[in-house]
Amino acid sequence: MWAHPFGRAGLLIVAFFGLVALIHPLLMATIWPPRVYHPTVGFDDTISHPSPPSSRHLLGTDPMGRDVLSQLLYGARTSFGIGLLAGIVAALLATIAGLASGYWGGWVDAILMGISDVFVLMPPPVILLIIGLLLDLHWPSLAVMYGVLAGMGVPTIVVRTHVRSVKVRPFVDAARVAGGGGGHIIRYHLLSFILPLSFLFLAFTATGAVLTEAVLSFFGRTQMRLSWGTMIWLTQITFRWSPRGEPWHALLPPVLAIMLFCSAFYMLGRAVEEISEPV
Amino acid sequence: MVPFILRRLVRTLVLLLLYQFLLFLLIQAMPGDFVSTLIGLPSPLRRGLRTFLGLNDPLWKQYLRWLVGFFTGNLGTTFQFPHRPVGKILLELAPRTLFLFLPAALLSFWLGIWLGKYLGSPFRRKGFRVLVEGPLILLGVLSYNSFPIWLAFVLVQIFAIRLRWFPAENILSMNRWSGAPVTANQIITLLFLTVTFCGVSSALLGHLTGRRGARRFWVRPFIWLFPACVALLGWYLSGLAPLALDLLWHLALPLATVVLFSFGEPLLLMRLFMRQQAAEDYVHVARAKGLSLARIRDRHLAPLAIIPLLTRFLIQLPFVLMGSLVVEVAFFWKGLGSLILTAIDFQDIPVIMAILSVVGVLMLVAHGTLDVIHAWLDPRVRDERAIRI
Repeated sequence: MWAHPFGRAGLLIVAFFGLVALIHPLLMATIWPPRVYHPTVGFDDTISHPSPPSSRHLLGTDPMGRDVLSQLLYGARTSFGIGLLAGIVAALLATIAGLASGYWGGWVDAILMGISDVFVLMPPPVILLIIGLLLDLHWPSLAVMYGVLAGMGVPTIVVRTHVRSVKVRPFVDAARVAGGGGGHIIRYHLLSFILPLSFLFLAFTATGAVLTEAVLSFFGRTQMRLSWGTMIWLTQITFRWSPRGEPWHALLPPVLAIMLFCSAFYMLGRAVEEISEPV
Repeated sequence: MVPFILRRLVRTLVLLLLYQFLLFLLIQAMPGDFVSTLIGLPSPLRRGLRTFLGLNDPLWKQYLRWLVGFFTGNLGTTFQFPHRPVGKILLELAPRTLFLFLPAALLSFWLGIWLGKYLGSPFRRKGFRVLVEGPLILLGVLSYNSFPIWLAFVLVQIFAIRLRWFPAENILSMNRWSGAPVTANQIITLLFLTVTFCGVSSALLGHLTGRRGARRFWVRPFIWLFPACVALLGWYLSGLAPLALDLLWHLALPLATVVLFSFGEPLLLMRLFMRQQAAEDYVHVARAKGLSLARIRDRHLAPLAIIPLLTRFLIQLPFVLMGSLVVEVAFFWKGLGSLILTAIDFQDIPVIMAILSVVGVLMLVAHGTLDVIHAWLDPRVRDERAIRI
């Protein structure tokens, strides 16, 4: 992983964001008084808002008077939550369903493939827009639902195809002749071939989930307390038509953060694909 | 082969029914209905409207009514405007979405494949690797993972507000189109026809001039110029050229946005597949034969590297479609994207169901075709799936 340029870049950026997410509570506890720097309810009453970057607020403040840097650091936590949760749900679902369907075949296969064929047709953002009217989309529910929608589709089908190609190799027959049951063969003989693929879908789903959250928040359809998506939603209204792109200092950080964060997971996935070549 | 296709058709139909049923349930599960989204309506009027729209009927009745309508070509009427059939709205807005989506999808894939061919070539020079390859890959990865609306904003800031080269919104300029003899949709259809004409006739011309002569004549690479000139002349003579140019002028920024954020993936994949192909023996044979490096790259490596990309193209299409719907909203491009957003807000069941069904049908047709082609090319995979990675 480290030897591949994508893998190295991805790991570094993910580590950086992890650090960022960890440093925020420390800063809040030490040098940032919560009344001014709190990411959602902080307010600085000594200056007018939105204010450009200054020594007091390194990235300035947003139209509601909150410190952008503090929001950005806090948002990293939300994004990690959404990305990893959605990725893990999708990878788990795809691995389990794909293994079961590919190994056992028969009616298990028929039912699971029927389900995933329907899920392939469902565009996650639109379905989440509809679900957004039905439920409050906080980050865990959003992440789990995105994971299910994304994971049961293409990933399951791909894992199944791959399992079917591994299953016919001689060592699986040997294990079966030696008396290994289905669970044993899947656990000890097939899983190691599938894991790179699972990780790849974990990474790609994480990317998709963070981007989808941003798009949904942009349309104002989530009840997220604070994320990079809601930061964009709050500042973009004045941005579009202002002659000098004000307040760019409040808009640019979350956008760049989303870009970097998603690129990091995307590159990790690509690196796994190029190293292990699960084609 | 015929039993396989029949089986596939039955499966597609069952899937479509299942998909629509689930969608219907999901939409019905939304709290309230269309009438409850209208604020300030007196309650007798509410009751009357519910009865008029058939919202008081039991669910299975509403579902069956919609289903029968769908299969008899009647998509119902939208709730938002009285007596506007959904089919008519779709016919009016779909060309605009296609006008953005089709060129964007094709262009981004063409660009990705074309760039990936050079980046993945085993014969590239060191300076090229440092100066071109790294920055291009970086651009591809970053723009693929960026927020599409943000890209739209940046392009609008630079090209519409600062430089004033392109318009920032809408599909046409109102003042130029007032009193125009044709509608925008007609012009879009004509543009599609023109492109098809150019493509088909240059393919025909290329076929007629023949392969053998091709190497000697300088004409062959420029053969598309002849039909293009004919088409341009036609547009000029008909006097519709300014209107078409106006549409294209408005298309520039949305198109650039969608292309920018979807060319990264095909680029990286093409590069990967090219590099996998480069290890094969036939490359050594071709070099030993003394073929030029460019020829090996273009004629020997690229065609084989494209094959696995085609299935990816299909998987990517919904992603590009979603992207272009989002970009539509950012550019106030009145297409299906803004339609579905308001439809979801108003719980306009016929419109949501119609759009998602159309998308579903298109996807099913694409997947079915892919499976059939796959099974036809490789009979071993009759019971396999064509979606792979």
